[in-house]
Amino acid sequence: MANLNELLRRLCDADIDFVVVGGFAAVLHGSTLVTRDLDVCTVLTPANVEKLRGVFGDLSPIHRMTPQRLSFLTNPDPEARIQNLYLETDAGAVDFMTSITGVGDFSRIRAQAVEVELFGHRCRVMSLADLIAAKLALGRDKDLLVARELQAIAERLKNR
Amino acid sequence: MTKDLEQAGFDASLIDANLRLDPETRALRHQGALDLLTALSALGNENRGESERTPAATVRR
Repeated sequence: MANLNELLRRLCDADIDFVVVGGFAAVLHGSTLVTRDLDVCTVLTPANVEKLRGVFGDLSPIHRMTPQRLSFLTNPDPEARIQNLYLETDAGAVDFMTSITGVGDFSRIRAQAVEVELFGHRCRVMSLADLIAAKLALGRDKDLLVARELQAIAERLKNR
Repeated sequence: MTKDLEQAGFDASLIDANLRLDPETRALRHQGALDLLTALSALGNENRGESERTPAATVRR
């Protein structure tokens, strides 16, 4: 069964620089919608990929977009350059991206991110404005729905 | 804005309630909702399996 908090807790415990993005970032900002995966923006250097193997190694991580369901523990090669990782683990789906459509790369997203207290750690979460821009840029019905709710949240926060 | 939200299917009072919580509590409550959805989805799949088996059973009689 998916346990997104467990996935996030593991990432917080590890020495990896990341920003929570996507639906779970929306939840942390106050969205009432439910998401089934954890989306993270980071830099996928070989060193970071190796750290991620350590973080999720006991959760049978596989590349869920590959027909062969390749193991993340043995793929990609240590020196391979990768942009995104779409993993399925025993604790649910977790995606890693190096940039976000409509917003920019990791350094841009990190610069505008907000820090929140989660599970005893300070954790970076994509800013509300960036999250709205990302959802609008994706433009699918489900993303536009999230954007609409986030705009209402931004309005409420402004009027406080 | 609230009327727009409600027309889009959102309950504005739930958003306001969420905004009174800290991010960690939001994460914990979201997990509770996800667990419930997963359980309901599994139940739906079981029931679908039952109804798909019924016609075949009827034919055998």
